[in-house]
Amino acid sequence: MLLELIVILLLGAVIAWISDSIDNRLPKWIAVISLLSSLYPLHPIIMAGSSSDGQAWLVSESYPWIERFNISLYLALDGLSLLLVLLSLLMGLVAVLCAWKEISFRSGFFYFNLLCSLAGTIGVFCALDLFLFFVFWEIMLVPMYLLIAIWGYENRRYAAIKFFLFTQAGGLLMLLSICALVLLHYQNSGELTFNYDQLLQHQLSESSAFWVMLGFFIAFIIKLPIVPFHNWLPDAHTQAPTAVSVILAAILLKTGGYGLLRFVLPLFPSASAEIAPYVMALAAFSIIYGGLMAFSQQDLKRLVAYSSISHMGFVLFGCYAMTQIATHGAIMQMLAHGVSSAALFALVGAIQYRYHTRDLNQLGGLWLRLPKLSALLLFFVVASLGLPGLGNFIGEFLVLIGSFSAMPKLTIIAVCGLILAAIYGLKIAQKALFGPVKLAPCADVDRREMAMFVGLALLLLWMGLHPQPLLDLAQQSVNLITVGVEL
Amino acid sequence: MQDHYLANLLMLVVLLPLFSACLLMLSALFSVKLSKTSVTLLAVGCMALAAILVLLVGIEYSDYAGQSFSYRYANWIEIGQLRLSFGFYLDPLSLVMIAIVTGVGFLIHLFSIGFMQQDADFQRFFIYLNLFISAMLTLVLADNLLLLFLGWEGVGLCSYLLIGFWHQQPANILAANKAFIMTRIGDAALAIALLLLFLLLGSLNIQEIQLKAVQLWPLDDNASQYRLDWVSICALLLLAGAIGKSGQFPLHTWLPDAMAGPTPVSALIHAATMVTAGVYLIARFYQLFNLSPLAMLAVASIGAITLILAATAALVQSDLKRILAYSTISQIGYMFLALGAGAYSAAVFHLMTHAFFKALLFLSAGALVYSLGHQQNIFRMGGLAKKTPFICACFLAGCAALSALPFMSGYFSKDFILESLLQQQMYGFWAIAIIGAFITAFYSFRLFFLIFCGDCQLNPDKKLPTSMIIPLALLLLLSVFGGIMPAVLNVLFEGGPALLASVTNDSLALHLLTIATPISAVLLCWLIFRKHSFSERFNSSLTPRFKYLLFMGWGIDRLQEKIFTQPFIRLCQANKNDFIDRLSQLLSHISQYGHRQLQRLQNGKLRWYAASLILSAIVALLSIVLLR
Repeated sequence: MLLELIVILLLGAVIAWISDSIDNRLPKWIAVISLLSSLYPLHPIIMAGSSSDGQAWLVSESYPWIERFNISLYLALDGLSLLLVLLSLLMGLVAVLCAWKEISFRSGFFYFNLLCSLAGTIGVFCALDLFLFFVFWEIMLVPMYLLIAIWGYENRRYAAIKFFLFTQAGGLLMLLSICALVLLHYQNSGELTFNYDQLLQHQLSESSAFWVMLGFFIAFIIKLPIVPFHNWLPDAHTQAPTAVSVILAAILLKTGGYGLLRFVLPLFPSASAEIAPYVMALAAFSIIYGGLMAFSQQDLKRLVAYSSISHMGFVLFGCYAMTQIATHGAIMQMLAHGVSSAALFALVGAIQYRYHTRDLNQLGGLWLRLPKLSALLLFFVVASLGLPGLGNFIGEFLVLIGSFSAMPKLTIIAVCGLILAAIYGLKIAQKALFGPVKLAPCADVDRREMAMFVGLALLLLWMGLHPQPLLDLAQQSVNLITVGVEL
Repeated sequence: MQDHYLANLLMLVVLLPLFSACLLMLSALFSVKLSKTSVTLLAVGCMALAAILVLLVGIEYSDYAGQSFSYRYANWIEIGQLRLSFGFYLDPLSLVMIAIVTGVGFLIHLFSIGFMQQDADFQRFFIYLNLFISAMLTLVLADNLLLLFLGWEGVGLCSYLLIGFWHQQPANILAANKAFIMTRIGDAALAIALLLLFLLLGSLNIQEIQLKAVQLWPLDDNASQYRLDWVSICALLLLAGAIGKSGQFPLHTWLPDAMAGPTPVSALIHAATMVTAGVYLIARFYQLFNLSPLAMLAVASIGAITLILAATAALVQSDLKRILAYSTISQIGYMFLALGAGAYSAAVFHLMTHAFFKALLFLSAGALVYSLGHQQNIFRMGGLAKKTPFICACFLAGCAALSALPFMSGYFSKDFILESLLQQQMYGFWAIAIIGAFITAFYSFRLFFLIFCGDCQLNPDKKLPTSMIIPLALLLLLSVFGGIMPAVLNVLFEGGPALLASVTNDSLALHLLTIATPISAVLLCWLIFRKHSFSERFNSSLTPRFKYLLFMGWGIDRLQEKIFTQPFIRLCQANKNDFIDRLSQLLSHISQYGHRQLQRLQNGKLRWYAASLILSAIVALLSIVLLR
């Protein structure tokens, strides 16, 4: 079922590319169809999803691949990865809708890359063979690089290369760590395997565990991203076309958080616990630094990008608090940030599409020109500054309340991040939406955009007011993550 | 079955304004044009219905005879020990609060119909207003801290939106930002309090928290009284949250600026309801606060400082709404003072009468400004008593109640506060409160005389519509007679000092003093007014610099800007380009530099290649020989 899911997307990607030569309006429809039809293999899992009966995986499947090295196509889903896969598909749809009018140049190849990248991401969320995981990790990156380098804005090549170098450096470290982990396991047990379940049983010696863990850890926090490895993100976001920004913020960053939760914490519980205080300090610094940087930006997209860094700091913070509540919080924060940042980037893209600028000094008085779009932007700004009743608040609140017992002082610093969120959030409203009118009249949101944004808004409201189904779904995974490290 | 009836009533009270707000919002979003009449019917109708339902709630609740009623509607979050639900908690305190919110709220809605009639954003105004009402009701009724926090942030957001309602003026937006960010600082403290309480007591249910707190940290008479223990820290953090929301020193500077919003908003949010949320919060946690003498002292001191600071600042302002704003800050200071003395019912009583007379003052100010064509400077007014007799009567009643002249509503409540201060033997605070009362009476009648007596300068050009007159008349009645039945409020807090029993115990002289103070202030004010000694300018006064200092609200605003805002902005500007990014760019510069240097070796000159070949061979050989 899971293989089908990925294959459908890859097939869709190829068909979209080919169909371009027939008619250049076809690729986007094919993208939509393949995204929707990829829900089909998932539906039995979703139906059965909440009734977890103690089993680790909701669904798992394994096919032999490179038998010489005992590498298999081992794919599985639990609550955590199911949530993230659903988020990816949904945000993929949002991305396609964002690109709907914006991308006309070589649209076939665009949707090919978009769908490939999505397939790679979903593969990352499903793969439980470490080698396979790495392969998907790369599949996700290369199309992303092309998307930024070809369809980006004025400074796209610089941004694309920066993005590629940073993530590739992380990927290299991860590959080294994977090899080291597998070889150490081979030395001890005489069995060569990349299988996650088997490696999970294996206890490394303390010193080697630390170094192996570090490789994974750095790869994932580059992806998240966490200060001081964050600076690829603002450039990538500013230069990427809207749809790619949406994918980048909503899904790609989450692979970092997912990696921490899936690999670093369960595989290296004691080493993780050892560095937890330092990591949490780093996360708190990242929250504050991201907030400060967001406030000082003039480019709307850059501002939102830095705010992502600040929000992702909460994810790292929650992961390393190593309590059930905080881990739930980290997961909720990933989901909610996925939705809210996707909406924000889509809205910024909508503004840029209309006025060809993202400069806050040139915007202003948007409320009088585009009242609906402004109201929507305000809603998502308010969501991202953590208004209770919306999803982001639940994430941040759970992270904070779960971490407070572990690290009270650092948690108080993280709470200050909420004040900064208000400061930079209101800056968006003040500079872009309010004040005297500076721009010419323009068409307000159309039906396609309205449906998309209202859908996302309702999703955030649902997460904020009734998060329990999501929490229940993630409970099993959270148990597994925290069982090793608690106490 | 009755439980369900009451529970459903409460839910409806909260959901009705929310429903109308959502409906109006959706109609705006999907371009369904509604006429002003239908917007009015929907918004004000729902509000009226909510007010009527609160009446029913009151009738239903009277069966409970002061017992609390709580009901859980649905689960919100449930992870292990963390159990949160959507639950409401009704006791006399929250009943009084929802009655004020819906009652005064309804009157202000009614007033707004006329006031906002000409505004293009009529619908948006009522969306925000109804959203506010429903958030405020949630805040007041919540049975757990997180739901309270939801309401707390919700009212903050609505306040932000309404201060910046006329968003084309950048100044309004700045005022809105300031209000939101400064209250958010308090909110952060409240959030930390929430985390700490959960960590220490393992619950977020407000009643459970207090029960556990009483068990865990019993008040120890023998130990040194003012020590900083856990309960004090929790209480002080809650206090910090309350300070932010209620505009108390040192987080009060947003409130005078918040007057940028439409006047009905100032009346509803920045006088009658939202800014009293801090008072409500402390009253709600009175058992917790009772456990910490230190926190109680802090509450009283904050109240005392604020009431004097704000009252003196109100003395020299020239903008009508700014005077009323400072007066609000100062009156809430009184409430904090009462809370700090443990006189919770006195504080809530003053909250109620204050809601009446301050709403009256703001609305009549709104009516005045409306009929004068948006003139707010009181020195440009004068002699309006004959031209606008009704507004004059409203102002007179409002000012009299604010000054606590005998037998007005404000008199009873302020008198209770003063008495409870005496009872608790807090004589210093009592003296401050008396001085404050003197200043209050002085500035309120300075306002009144300057507007309504003397020479006429302006002509009102608009007649008030009936929808504005009715709420004014009702509030006028409430301001005059609203203080007569304090006995109802006596059941609010068991254990607090009783209100009525205390009247005869004190010496008559002190009692007379509280009556004489405001009257003498009014007389003094009249004398000065007759001599034309009030002036807008700063040079005619004896101490111009001091007057300017007062005018600037003791310069606290400017101080905060110097100490916090400007360094913050400078810090952000300094690192605008992200020094970490510079560092990583350094890496690319270094490698490019290395690339260029190495490139120079490949220059195509054969001599150069031969020489370097020989040289490196020699070096290699030598190193082998020498290193052996």
